[in-house]
Amino acid sequence: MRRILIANRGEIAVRIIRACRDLGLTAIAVYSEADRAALHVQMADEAYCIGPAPAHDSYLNIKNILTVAIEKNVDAIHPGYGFLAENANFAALCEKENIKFIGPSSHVIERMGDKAEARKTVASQGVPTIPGSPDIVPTVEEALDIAKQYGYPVMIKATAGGGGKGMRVAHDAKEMKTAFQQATREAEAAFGNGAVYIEKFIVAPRHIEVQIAQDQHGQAVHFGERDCSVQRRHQKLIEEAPSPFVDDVLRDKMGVAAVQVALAVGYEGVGTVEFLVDADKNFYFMEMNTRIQVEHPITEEVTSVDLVKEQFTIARGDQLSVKQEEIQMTGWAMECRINAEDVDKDFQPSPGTITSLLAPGGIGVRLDSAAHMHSVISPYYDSMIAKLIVTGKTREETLIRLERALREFQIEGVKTTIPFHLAFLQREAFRQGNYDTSILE
Amino acid sequence: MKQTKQVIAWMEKFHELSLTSFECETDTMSVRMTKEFVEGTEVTKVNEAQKIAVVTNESKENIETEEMKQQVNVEEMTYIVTAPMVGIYYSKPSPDEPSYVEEGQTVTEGDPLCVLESMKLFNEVEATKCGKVVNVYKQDGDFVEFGDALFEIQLEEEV
Repeated sequence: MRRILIANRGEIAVRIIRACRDLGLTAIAVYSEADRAALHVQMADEAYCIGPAPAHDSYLNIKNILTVAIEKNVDAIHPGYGFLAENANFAALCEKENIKFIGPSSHVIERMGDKAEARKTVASQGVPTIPGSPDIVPTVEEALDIAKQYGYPVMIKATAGGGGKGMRVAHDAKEMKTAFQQATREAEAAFGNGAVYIEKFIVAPRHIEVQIAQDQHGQAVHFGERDCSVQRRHQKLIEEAPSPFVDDVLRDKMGVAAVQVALAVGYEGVGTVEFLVDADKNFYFMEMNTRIQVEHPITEEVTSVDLVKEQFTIARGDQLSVKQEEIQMTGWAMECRINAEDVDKDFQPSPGTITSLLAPGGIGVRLDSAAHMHSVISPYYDSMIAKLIVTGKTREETLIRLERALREFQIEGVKTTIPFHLAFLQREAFRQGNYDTSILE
Repeated sequence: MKQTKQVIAWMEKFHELSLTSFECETDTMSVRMTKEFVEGTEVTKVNEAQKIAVVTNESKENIETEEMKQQVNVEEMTYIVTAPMVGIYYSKPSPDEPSYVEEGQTVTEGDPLCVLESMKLFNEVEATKCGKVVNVYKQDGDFVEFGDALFEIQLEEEV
């Protein structure tokens, strides 16, 4: 496995290329016309234009991407996150063309991608799930019945969903009809599948996820948790590892549960099991993300494991590079997602050209980014400029370093969310580590 | 002059994508385009002036500056047919048939010019305007990226 095609762009493409370099692999980039001058294109060993700016015609263009892979003798494709990363059809086509898809099999992607199906699988393993409908709920009438069973409030969720779309809360029977219709419509529009299921809505939960990895020899480990409760409209803004809410006992329980899920589905690669945790430290399976995640760096920093390298190790058929007893969370890491958004205008995307960039540095400061002087934050893709990851010996030290790094970070030409992060770090609830998903409501 | 034609193709893209600045360097020339607005006009009106500076290394000519209104009207205009997808280029429908087009041949809108093969499927690339094929850039078996120049066609009035 020598020639790797990275079916992605931006900071994650850069991240993957770096791992390829460290492993002596050949990195092959694909890009849209809007990304001709992009950093991932400059860094790669080879680069091929696969379409015009719109993602649908380029980074989601399976035909063009696979043609490059076939004609250029690519051994494996790394899909990154988003785009085709959890597209079971794409994974299946790679398998058909004898190109290794860096991730689990198309079958596993499909199984865990269907949220209702995933819950059933997980529940059968004795892993706690949020009380909810065992299957898809086809009508409002059935929804009302189920809600009565579990008690309000309830959440109506798209089975093909993700990223916070196709979800609505109903606080009582009166709200149910509208919520049901809206969720169904949004799901149909976003995922082409309007089927929904119902879950008990846990008020102000914490979103805590566990990083796992499983190799082709049936060995699975977990790398501890990440707290991703700081969300605005279901979009994560700040993540930290470990979670200030999780003690050793809970960590162990959740880690074991996450590994159980991975083993149960015959997982391969790195993945994340997401849980909701209530105020009494009860945890419930929410969903599994069968890909590398945006916030993976904070786990890397506190465990000293290169998770992207691990993806290649597993894909090659080698054993995991660490055993469970060797994995330790040392220190504390936080990540701020810095986006090109106008904080004063409701976080409206602020695309444009970066005219000046001064990156922060120093001990424990890491920047994962594809941004550079003159780089363009395009309206065709997400508005991420950079991920700022800061690590310290203690949470306190990390907070101080993070604030200092945010102040050092100078970006001109586009609006950024740095002011938001600086203001947020002052909030007492966050400083105390005493917060949940309601903190940004 | 040929290079100016290439520049014209880029100009069309420049405008299509609503860019405000564009820079490109090839072996033989460097091109820089910027969009400026004529003072006193509304941003959305047609009176945008586009300045193009073309520097050719070979002839060491002085910088040519052409100011063009939005309705471009240049004699002997050509346009470049670019690849609408990624694939392997073939000039013929099948190995034992003649080429779709030859250099110097006149084509009309909708005429197939070549075929691009991708994952065992063959897609014909058609001419979108009438004209004469003045350049064929690819050879049979060439790997073609999206946007690669395939043909240069000199525009002609439809007969």
